[in-house]
Amino acid sequence: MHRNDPIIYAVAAEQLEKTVATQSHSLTILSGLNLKIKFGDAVAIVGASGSGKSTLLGILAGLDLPTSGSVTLAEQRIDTLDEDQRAAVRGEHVGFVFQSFQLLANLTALENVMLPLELAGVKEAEAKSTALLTRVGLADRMTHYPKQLSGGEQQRVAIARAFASEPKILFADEPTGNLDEKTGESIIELLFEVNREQGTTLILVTHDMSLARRCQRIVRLHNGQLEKVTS
Amino acid sequence: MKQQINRDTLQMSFRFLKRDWRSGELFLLVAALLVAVSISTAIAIFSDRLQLALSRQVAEVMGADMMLSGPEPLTEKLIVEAKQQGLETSTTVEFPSMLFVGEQMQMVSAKGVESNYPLRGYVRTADQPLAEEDYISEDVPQAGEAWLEPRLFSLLGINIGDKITLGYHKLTVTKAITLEMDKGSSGFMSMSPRLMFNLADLDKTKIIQPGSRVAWKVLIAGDADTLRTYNAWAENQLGLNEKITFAEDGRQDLQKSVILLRQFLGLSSIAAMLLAGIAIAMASKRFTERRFDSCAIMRCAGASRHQVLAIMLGELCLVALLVAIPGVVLGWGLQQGLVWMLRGILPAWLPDSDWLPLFVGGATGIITLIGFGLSPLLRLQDVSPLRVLKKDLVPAPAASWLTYLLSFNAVFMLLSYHLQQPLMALILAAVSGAMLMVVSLGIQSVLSLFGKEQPLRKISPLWRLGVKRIVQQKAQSSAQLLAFTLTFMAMAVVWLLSTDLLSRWQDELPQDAPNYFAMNIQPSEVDAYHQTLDSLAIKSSHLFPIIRGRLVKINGKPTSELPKEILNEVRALHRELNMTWLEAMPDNYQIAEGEWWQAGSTFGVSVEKEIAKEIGLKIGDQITFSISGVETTQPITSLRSVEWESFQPNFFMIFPKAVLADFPATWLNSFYLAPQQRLLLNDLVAKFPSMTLIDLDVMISQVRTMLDQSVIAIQMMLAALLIAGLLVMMSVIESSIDERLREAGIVRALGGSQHQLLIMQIGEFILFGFVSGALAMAGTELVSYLLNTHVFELSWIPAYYLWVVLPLLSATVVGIAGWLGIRHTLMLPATTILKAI
Repeated sequence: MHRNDPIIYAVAAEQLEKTVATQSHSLTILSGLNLKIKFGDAVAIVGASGSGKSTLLGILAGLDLPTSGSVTLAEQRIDTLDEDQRAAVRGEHVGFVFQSFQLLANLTALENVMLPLELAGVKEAEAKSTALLTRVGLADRMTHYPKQLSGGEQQRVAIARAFASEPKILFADEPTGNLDEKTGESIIELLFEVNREQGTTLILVTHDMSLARRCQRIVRLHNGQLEKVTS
Repeated sequence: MKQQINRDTLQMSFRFLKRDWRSGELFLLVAALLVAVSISTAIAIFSDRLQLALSRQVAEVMGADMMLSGPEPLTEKLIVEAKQQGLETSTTVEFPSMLFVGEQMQMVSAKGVESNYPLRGYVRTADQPLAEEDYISEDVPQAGEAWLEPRLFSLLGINIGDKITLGYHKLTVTKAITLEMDKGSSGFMSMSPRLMFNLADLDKTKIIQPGSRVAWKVLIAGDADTLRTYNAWAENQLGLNEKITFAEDGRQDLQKSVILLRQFLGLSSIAAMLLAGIAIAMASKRFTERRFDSCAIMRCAGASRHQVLAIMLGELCLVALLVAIPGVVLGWGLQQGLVWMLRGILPAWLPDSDWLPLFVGGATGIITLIGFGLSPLLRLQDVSPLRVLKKDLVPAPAASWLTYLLSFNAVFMLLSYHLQQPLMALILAAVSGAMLMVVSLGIQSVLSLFGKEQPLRKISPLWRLGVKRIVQQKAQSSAQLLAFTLTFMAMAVVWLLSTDLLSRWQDELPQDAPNYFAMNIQPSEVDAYHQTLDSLAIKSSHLFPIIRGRLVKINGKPTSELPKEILNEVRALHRELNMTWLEAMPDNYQIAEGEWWQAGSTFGVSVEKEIAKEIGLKIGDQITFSISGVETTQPITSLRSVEWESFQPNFFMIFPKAVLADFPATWLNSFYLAPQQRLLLNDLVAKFPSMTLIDLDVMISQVRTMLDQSVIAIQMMLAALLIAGLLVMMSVIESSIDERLREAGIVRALGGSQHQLLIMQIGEFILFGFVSGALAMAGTELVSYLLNTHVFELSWIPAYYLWVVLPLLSATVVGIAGWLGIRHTLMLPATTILKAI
């Protein structure tokens, strides 16, 4: 973070580059990308399929590293950290909601929600998780396994899990991509509600403009760079 | 049209094969199959060659692979036919005779031989009696020559070059016989010192008259098949008193070891195949699951269920064919390498095996592939085209009856081949199949019980993931647990058997096992003999008195009235037996039934268990012996088991001292002489000229060589099992790798550290290893109990150390294997993992 910059950002990326080597040549996904998101903001990243939205989300969340450039997440430079240090930052500050839910098949709904808390060594993991699952409307589904739940229910579990560790920043990657319209809407409703309640910074990747418009700010990823979208 | 479809299908299969090979999808399947084929080929060839070598070693001790014998010259057509069938023959004649040198005379066992004698093994000779240097003789005594056993030189006071008279013929002594490998096969006659002469001189001696005690033999050698054909023909052509002996029949002691080794190799090779089979089953399951998507797309594009299956089966067949050939070549190379590595220990003339083992190796691989790999693949025909829309549409798992039936068939075929007893193989395969099903169901129900337990929540989250996977995926977990269990069980059983067998053999054959038997020691010489042995510091056994007697009545009825089958079978009923008296029972004797007498007892006889069974004797029977014309009747007071292969003096009948002390006796004992002490025999022979010495050195060193070879064979089996076992582990780990990758990615994204991830994943493997080790321990004990008591007829004691070692060892091994298998997933960034799914 710049020394003279008075504003504290939840996420700040400067001059991000990401290239991947293919068999014949190297492919540039991000080139000189800059992005700053303030705490409490809700930002939608939109773009065509294959434009690199998920790659950008991965780098901003510390799941992956840029080829060059810097990423600051919750006031910490994460591009210089190793995998374990980044995991610690994620564990403390970040929550995720994925398009394909990414629940662990062998754990019950409750255990799935408890997992990040337990990994962080939180003592009241069970009580907290029970409360969250009740909040997302799954009080009677706690001991069900993912395969016994519908897609919408699974995404609710994922949302409960994402908020379990009270993250400052929530990354959501096409959260309604695998759901029908109606279920998708109720999930989005839930996501924004809980987000508001917890005052979380939301970074949402989607190609659904109506969903994107619910955010304060929309940016479009095009040719490896971000363009501001005025709705 | 149909042909066109078939050709297209095959082409498609081939394209799929190329594509899958390039992408590495086929690696495990090919590796498992390659291991199955190459190990089975190598084992088949090696054990075939080793068995040929062992039987040839046994043959050396008889001088032939097969022998015809009788009291008269053998029927001419038997010899003519043998020669016509391409077998080699050599005639010998043996008889006791008095040898004269001037005024001196000595009883000898004369043996006339033909120029090609012996057909197997050799005779060692020296230019001087008891010279330190001797060599393998390349010829036999020429006409007019005689070779003598060294002690005859001192007994008769003669030297090389002197003339001796055998019957009416004078012979010149040209060499001393230091070793006659087949002497042990000559029976009692061989206890007199040997004189060997050329068969061409037989008529000139004019010794053989009607009624003379003569043993005619025709030694026969050739390949096993011809010998079998000849034997089948000759059995019906034998004249009165003529009989056929195979080298293996002749030596009960060696035969037992050969049979044990053969069974051991067979069982181990089945164990290796079973492991490779499990690996194939796992690899095939994964291969199948990874094909769900492409099959669904093919179905969408209009392919029928039949076509989809045909293409995939075609690919599998191509894999089998393409792997079988290099597998067989590799197997052949492996055993060649093995033989080369062991060139110092194996006989230099290790016979070549024929083509059969190559075929067996290839066929075993294909049988294993079909038996274990086919049933998962059949699921592909049930892949729904709807899967392109709904990813979670998965065909039902392969029917378990089909899986079991196919693998049962494979195991049955392999067992039948190795045991050569289809009924036994059927029973074994059925019993083990049933046991597997029971154990598998048992594991699943135990897992269900665990699954219900709320306390799982109490387990640390790091371990919970693994425990829950095991509990949740019951069918998969029980298959994996069984795979690990069988792997460790196979290795533990082979290990246990090999150490059991070896220590048993070593116990029976300690380094200083007696290698000389001294017989015919006169009562007046006993004290002097004792002193001489002591002064020469020779370690010797107890001295046993020998009284010769014939069993004439059982409970008052003459033995000649016994049923014909018994009379024909039991040779001991037709000859005088060597009997002894003893007051205290030696340590190495074992009473099977009844009791040993108190010192000073005046009645009783202890009978060897097997002969008692053959004749039908039991405790309390009154048996009458005729000893030097005097009859004595005694009640049977005990039955003893005797280890005939122990090289210790053993007796069919033993009496209390009071019963036999008054009968004339000669004495016997056995002692150990180190090779460098051999010259001491000169002193012994000179001091006790009437004593008969039997040299067991050759026999013992033969048995030792066989033991050494067996050890190597066993170690190789363990190595083969280890390779197959590692493959099983690799395939089990590989089969769950996708799921583990995904889990790792999620845990990573949720903030889990590398360390936490490691404990989560490895913890499950360690748990798996521990449980399967414990199951394997129980299984090993059960199998070793059954094998020891029912197959090998050995005693069984639980191996307590396994109870601790096996679970710990398997926890460690599976833990390490698991870590090696998934360590790269721990290093990958979370997005890479999540994207890869």
